[in-house]
Amino acid sequence: MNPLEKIARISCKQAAMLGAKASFNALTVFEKMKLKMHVKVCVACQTYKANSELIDEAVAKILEQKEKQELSLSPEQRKKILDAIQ
Amino acid sequence: MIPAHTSDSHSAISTWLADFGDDMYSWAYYKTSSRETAEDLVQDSMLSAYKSFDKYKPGSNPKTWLFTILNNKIIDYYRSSNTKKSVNQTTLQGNKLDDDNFDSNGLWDKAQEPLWANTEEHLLDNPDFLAVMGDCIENLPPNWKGVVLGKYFHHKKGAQICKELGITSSNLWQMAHRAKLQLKGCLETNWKNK
Repeated sequence: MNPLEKIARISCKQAAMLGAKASFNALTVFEKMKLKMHVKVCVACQTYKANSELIDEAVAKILEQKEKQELSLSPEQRKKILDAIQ
Repeated sequence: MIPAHTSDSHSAISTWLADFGDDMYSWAYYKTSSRETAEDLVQDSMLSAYKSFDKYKPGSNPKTWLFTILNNKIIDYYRSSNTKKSVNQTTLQGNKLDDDNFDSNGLWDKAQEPLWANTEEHLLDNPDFLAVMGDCIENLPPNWKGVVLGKYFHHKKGAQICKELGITSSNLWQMAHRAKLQLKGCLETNWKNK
């Protein structure tokens, strides 16, 4: 292992954490490099990354659907609310 | 005898609930992703409106006034999810998630499997998958949900989410990491292995 690889070595757990940080565009240059080097050689993290991206897309889609959703309070819910302000 | 003011404000609130209740409920649901929480927030807002009825300027738009109150309640809801007690609780839950997913060397405990293995169609077009995913989001602890909703839903910047939730950047990244592990685990249990 060359010295650079040694300092840049991170665990899968650290890689997953850096992945979350990356989603806020908050990685330092060194962190970016560490993450990239790890994921390149780690099949489990490649899969996790793909799953994670799928989850992101699904969350975005669900929230978009919720935005358009119109809910109605039931008569019971309305009564409960009015009772609370008696 | 009931003072005139009390009966006036009560009948006003009752009318407003009839007129704007559904809009407030839908908005609160959009912001919190939980029907139960949304109902509580509408109730709290109506109660506040009733109590501070004298602050309502007659002739101004009641819907605007009610939504100001509701939005403050939503902010309070997320803020209170970051009190010491609830943070301690989710920290325990988060530590357990890390322990369940990683061994003591920080390696994945189990092989990671693609969530969309053996499905031909695109998962995101599958209503059953979206329903399961929706439940997984609803079941996140409020403070993690605040991070997820702030990020994806309202496309807020990290700094803005931190400010609204009253947390630091490192909290934010860790919560986002753990929310992700939680969602992945939830999908593995309720979707993949169904």
